[in-house]
Amino acid sequence: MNYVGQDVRRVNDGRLLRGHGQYIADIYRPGMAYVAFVRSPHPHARVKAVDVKQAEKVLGVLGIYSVDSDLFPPLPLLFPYSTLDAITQTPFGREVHHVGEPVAMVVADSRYHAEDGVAAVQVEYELLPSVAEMTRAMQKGAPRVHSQHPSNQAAIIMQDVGDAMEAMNQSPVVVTCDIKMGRVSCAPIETRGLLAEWNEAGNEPELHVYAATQTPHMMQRIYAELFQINERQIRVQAPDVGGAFGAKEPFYVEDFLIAWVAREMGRPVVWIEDRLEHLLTSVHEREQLHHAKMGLTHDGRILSVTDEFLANTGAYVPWGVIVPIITSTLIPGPYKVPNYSCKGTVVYTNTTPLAPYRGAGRPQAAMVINRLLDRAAAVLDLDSALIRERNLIQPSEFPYATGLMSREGTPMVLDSGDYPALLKMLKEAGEYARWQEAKGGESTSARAIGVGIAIGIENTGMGPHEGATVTVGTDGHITVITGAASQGQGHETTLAQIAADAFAAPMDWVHVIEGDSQKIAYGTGTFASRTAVVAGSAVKLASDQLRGKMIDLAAYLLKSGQPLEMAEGTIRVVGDPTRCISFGNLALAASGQFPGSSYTLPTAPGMSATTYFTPAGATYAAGGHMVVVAVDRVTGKVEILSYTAVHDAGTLINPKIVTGQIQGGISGGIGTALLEEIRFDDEGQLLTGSFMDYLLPTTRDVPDMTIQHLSTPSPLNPLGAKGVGESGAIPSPSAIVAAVEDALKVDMVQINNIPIQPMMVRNSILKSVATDREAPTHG
Amino acid sequence: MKPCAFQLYTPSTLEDALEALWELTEEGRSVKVLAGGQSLIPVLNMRLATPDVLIDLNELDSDLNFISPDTNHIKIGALTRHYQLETSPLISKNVPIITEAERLIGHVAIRSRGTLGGSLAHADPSAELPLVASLLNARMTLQSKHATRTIPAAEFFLAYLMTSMEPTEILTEITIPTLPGRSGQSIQEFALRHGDFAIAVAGAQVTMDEDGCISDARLTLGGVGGTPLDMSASLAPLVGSRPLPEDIERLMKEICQDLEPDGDIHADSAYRKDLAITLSTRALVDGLQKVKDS
Repeated sequence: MNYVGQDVRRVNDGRLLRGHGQYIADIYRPGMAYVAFVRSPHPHARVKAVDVKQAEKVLGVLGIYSVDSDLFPPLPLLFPYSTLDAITQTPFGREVHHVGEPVAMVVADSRYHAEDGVAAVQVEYELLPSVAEMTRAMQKGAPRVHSQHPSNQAAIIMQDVGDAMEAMNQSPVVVTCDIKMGRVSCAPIETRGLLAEWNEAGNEPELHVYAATQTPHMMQRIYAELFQINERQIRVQAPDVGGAFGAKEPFYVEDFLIAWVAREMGRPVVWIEDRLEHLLTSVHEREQLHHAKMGLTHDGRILSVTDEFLANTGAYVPWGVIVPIITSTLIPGPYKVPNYSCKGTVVYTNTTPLAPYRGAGRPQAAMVINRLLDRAAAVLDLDSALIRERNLIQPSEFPYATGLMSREGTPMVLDSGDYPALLKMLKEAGEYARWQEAKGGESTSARAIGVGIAIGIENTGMGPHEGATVTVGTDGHITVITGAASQGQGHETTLAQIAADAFAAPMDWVHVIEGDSQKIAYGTGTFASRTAVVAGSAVKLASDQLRGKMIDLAAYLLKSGQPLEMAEGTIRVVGDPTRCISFGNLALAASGQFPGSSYTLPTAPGMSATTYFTPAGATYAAGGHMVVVAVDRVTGKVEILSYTAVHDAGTLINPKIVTGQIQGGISGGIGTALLEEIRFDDEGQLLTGSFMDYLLPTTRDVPDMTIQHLSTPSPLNPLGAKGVGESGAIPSPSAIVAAVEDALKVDMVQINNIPIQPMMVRNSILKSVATDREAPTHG
Repeated sequence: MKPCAFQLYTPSTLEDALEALWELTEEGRSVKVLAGGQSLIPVLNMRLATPDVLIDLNELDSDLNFISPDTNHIKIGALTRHYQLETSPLISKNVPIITEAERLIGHVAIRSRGTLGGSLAHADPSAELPLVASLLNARMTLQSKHATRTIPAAEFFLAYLMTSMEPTEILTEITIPTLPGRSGQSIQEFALRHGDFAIAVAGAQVTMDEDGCISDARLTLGGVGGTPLDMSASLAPLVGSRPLPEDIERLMKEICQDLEPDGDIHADSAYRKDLAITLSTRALVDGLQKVKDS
């Protein structure tokens, strides 16, 4: 039996559900000290003086460090881009550019005492003008976000295919869509956290960091740069990590400062971000404002799409301008758009920086194209599924050259897919026809029903590489090590399934170790829906390589020229299972006989193989979502009645885990569409500093879903897999907006903002009925 | 998000608690009384309150945790937990609006810890139990070391998060009238997510005479003012009539006219007012329906 393709139970859950997980806050090191930060209460200010005299006297305080302690260089830029005027954050810079930037840190014998110390630190600020809203930041005479920087424009992103302007002018039908997408927080259950410790006892200093991170090897490399030491002196370990969704991807100033202060103080130092700090300082995403146009033929075929958008990047660019770049390349999505132009302007503001959150610019792209199609369907009186059918890329057209350039500057080609089949499955699984019937005609009753669909695609499984080391031990068990750290995705199970198949071994013989820069030399990390594809392929390649070596050695030891096979942890002669050698004995033989003996085997010593997989390009996953909502026209509240998703992730390693990923992504999409928004006032004060104001969907807000899979294997990797971690979050907001607009057809309400607040819905209805109809009754 | 240092005192009798509260207050120390901790603990963690001493009442179950019937009333100990009210057959039979209200409060973890007394003493104008207490004009028993007094809800809630309790007093018991004959109660709430504090909430109790006309009607609104707002006096036009839903709606539009709720990022003033009309209409219509159904 093959494990790949089976709903194998997640091997880690028993431990995690019983509370035996080891997260950063569970790790204790002797002599450990605790950090709390003094953070700027101002969105833009110059730090004039920091007075620590009172704070130093606070019980338990061991040390205080501030902008006066040292001069640090800005953090390295992780993603350069041709038009990017990059400003990265400086640890303890003299000028603060958003509320929450650290200006001092208090180290104490407990977090309690550290916070007492924080309260006693006096900081004198010179206030500078600030701006939080991106449209305002781009106006003439707007306050400078960085006082030394004349422009608030961070980058311009342009895409051009064909002649979009000319084609738009020639189009018989033109529709528009203006939409603003609200800013959201990644909000993992476990916030960020870091424990750093230096060992100065050896020949050279060694830094050991436990970090809740998605990118341990990247952190190792950046520490090497910042501390001017070699990677061999740095070990970064990600223990159990409780979700990340993008928040634990960039390198933050706290990551540097904690390691730095651990060296200053010569003792282990830990910092656990609290929820207010998370909402205030961990990266946000989504905030974009689009003005889009679509030109079509009378029968609903797309001729041209143009889009101009603003993207907020906050005060810095911790992950370059990847998010708006992705948006600009993915607006055409699964549809054939012969002429396309897009201009994105990325704007600095005095707010928390923005960087990828699950979906990373793609939900915005899916929103633009799908909303345009719905507007066109309304104008042309076409069914919204039908107008999509008419524009989908056909299966025979893959590989499909979009005419666009990918973010690395290479032509963007969609590798595989079957979008018409996806839409057909979606309509069947979601009972599209039945719901269209059931929702009735245009309703003026208090409760109105609407149906929405959206299709989105996702570039997944990107490089540069991921490696795997696969080793057979003398007990016959197989150890798989990769650089892609898990934050709960289930790698311990899925990567083990791949290896178990390669060795025809039972699942419980395979052990996956991740998130430790000392266990494997290189790694990229877990983000951008890449682990199944890139790490999974590396595990397959390394396992196949090791398998070959094992067969060679077994043939020599069994003195057999006949075909061999692997079964039950042994290698045996096909048809004669008595002639066999166990994996354990093979590993023992390959380790050499005894100290001092000669090594005479035909294969190199050891039973281990390391392989890196370097994908040629992105593989494109696709998802179609259909949602049915009921809108209470009196209160404006939206209720989801039915949710269906059909998804193409190529070869599924573990369908249940894939389904779970899509469910999770959709839950996030429901939050983005209906509930979640980080709000600042005009100057940049955070208005949503707790989960009372920042509304995450709870179990009551997330309905049961129908999730089905379509599989068009990718030709770009040995597994045929496509990434799935972000997929659920991509078409979901767009499908929900479509359903709400459909429900409110009678009111001619257009949704131009997400999240869709009930207040906004109610006001739109009132405004609409004010002109020509009676308001829905309050009863 | 760690509290400042405080002293914790955990008395095992009500007498000791009252004694400690009196003495510490006399000494001029700032004291907070801890019941279920569902509001106070976050407030402490965010350092919005920095008391010197916390008097923890959680050992006083034998004194303060009870639901006991009386003639036309139910007496409830202040330390009675939400889940106990939610699941009590005595409550659902005699004051069904409490059972309905409890289902709207937070989540299981919150209801298993939070208390009736804690919710009332915290006096959040969006919370469900202050609304119900106000609607039914429950009587609050306040005890100090030297005196016990009982005041109606109308005199208990003074302003946003403010009650008429003295610093030396503990709310020990709440007396709630039982549902009169031919009466129906209803609570209608609008929250952005289930279990959140209400954006607006309306509670109603209607009583009919033998001819099916309204003989008494009560209405309280939450989330649209600094305290639960008792609107009952404005319901006089309904008394003696058999109103249709549209009649009720018309009256609600009229009586909600002068509300001036504060707005926030989720609901501005006009929207809250609009919700108040909707919810009060729905509460009265639902209350009437329940009388007809029974």
